[in-house]
Amino acid sequence: MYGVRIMIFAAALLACGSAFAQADDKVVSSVSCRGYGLNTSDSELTFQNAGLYNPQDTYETVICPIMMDQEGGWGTTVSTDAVDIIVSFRVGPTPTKAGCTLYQTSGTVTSAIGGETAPSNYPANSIQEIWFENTAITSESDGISLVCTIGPKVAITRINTQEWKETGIPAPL
Amino acid sequence: MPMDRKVIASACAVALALAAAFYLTQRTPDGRSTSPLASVGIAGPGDDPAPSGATIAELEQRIRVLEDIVLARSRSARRARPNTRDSGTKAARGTDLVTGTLEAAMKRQAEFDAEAGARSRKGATAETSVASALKAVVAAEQRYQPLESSQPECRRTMCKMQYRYANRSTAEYASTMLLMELNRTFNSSDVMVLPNDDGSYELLVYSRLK
Repeated sequence: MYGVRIMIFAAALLACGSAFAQADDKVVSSVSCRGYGLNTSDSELTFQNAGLYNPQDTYETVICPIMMDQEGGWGTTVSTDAVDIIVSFRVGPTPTKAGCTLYQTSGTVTSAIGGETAPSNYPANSIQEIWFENTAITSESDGISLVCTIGPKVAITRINTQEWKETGIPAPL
Repeated sequence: MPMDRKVIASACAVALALAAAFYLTQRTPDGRSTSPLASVGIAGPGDDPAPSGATIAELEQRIRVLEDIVLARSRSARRARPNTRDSGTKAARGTDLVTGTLEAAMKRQAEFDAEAGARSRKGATAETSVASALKAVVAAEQRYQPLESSQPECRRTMCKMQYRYANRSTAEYASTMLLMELNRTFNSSDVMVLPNDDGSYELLVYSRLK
């Protein structure tokens, strides 16, 4: 009986600790992306169960939606008004590059923020991530989108937005 | 002056109390006063108390009805929330896109000018990076070749790029490709496209060095 109480207490402690861990992690499938720019059309891409795939032997560019809560104060580990955005992708049989830029439009100015990418080709058959850490998006009227260029045989698997703070209005009783 | 405030505060408190009493007390056709809560079996002031013989199931049913009312009120309150934004200003800002962009460009140019004569080594390297990035973009897609281009200029913390394109969308697509190439050079960039008198578009990019 005493042991059970200790276990319940330990579980409660763990639960309290996890309240400070990541509060809200949204995932958008990459199949919601579409071809962007003069050199990529949707017909050049393959939309698969596992995500968007570039079957071409050339670099292709796509534009993707970002899903996040409307209200501000999402919070990352270092900023209370920012979110972390992570783009995951799978490199094909040959080493290649991939890069993403996050666009926020406030009023008439579009601000572009480059994601953290490797300085050279990513290794073949590897799973990679591009991070936008502590990206401040504070106004509810800001436009937001993500533009990525992916090399041959690369698949974008998913796009995450990680908020480190509880958001959302609690449901009424 | 503090006395006046006390009098006003007291008057407000009395008015609020009267309003609350009026809201909570409604008259039935037979002249009996009742509270809105009575409809779900909860006694308000002046109501008959709930029958003591009510079963748990009946009470649970009343609680569910009460929850539905609270939820509905919360939704309608959210819908009825007044729009405090100045719609006139918003509309003006939306229709006058070119003026807004021009003002933003002038603001960035002033920031850039404030760093005059302060080119860092990092800035010099960035100028080379921009030139080679543009070559890479044009090599990948010939249609991103600008009609005219100025030499990129970098100063202590900022770089400025200026290119002329035949249409707006080509300018925006080209800037996307260019900035993708320069992700490791710049922390963030402000992109603006302005119409020229001859029908072409000027792409202006002000970037902050990493």
